[in-house]
Amino acid sequence: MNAMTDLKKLADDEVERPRYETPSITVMADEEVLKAFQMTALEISAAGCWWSASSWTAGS
Amino acid sequence: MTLAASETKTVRGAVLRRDPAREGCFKLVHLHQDMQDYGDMSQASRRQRLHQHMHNEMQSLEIAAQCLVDFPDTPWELRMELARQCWDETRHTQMLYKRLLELGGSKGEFPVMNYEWGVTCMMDTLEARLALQNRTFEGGEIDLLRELAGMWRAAGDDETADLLSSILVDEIQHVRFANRWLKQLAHEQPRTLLTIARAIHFLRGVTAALAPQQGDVNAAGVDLSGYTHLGVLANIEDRRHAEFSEQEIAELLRKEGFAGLVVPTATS
Repeated sequence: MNAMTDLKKLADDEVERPRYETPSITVMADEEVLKAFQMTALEISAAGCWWSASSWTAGS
Repeated sequence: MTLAASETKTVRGAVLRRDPAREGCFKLVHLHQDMQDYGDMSQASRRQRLHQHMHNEMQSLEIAAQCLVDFPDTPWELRMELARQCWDETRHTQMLYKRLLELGGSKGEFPVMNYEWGVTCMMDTLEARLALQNRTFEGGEIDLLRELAGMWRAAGDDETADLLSSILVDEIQHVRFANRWLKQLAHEQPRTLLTIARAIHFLRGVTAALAPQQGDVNAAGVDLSGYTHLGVLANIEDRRHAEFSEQEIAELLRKEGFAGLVVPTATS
């Protein structure tokens, strides 16, 4: 199998790829960038090592 | 500012700032699974919560103080804000330590971790550190403290609940001055926006690297992958006090799945 065949096989295979997210920022506007680059308390605590870990509940 | 290899540590592939000095009584750990967080409000859990919060305030003090050391050419007014923050975080640490002692706890009773220090102090600009420590971690704390005060009150401990509420007031100011300065600096020098974006990208990477893995059980026997966090929702009123714009708050609500609650306003 040569390189071209490899590429065709890749294209033909149904490969699960991350969904393409349309960029929300189209211009370098202060508000747009500051708004987009925020993290919620839940996102921060995803590492489990932030102190919102103090508020657990039994769950899934 | 370039960090020597001796000033960093690597945890699950994430390069973080090496821990600050600690008294010998503290047991230092590097992953959440090695902490002793409980999932309830038992007496041991109450002491652990106060101990962890006390240690987090110590880190906040050290981060603000390190900023004063690392960025001596910062405008005087901003240095004064950081100095006042050092004083606030010191008082918070003392207040929580006093409450910990009143509940029968002691310094070093539980493991501690320098997560915020490790992430924030990897940043080589003051703007990036303000974006992470003040605007992100302490911004999240604004949301969290309101929830935690309610938890302690529901558990019958009004004194600790009042203590957390008083800390919240100070934290609002720490976020507010960071928001003011970051917005001013971004206006004067748009490159600041890229610095903020890069800092948040770094935090997201560390968060992903350190997230508990399937089957992780912490030092208190809690299955970390079997628990979900309570929804800590944006504290809208206090975020407004901290001068997050209506657009920023709306974006947080959208991320939390409450886009329907967003009311369009004329101000931003």
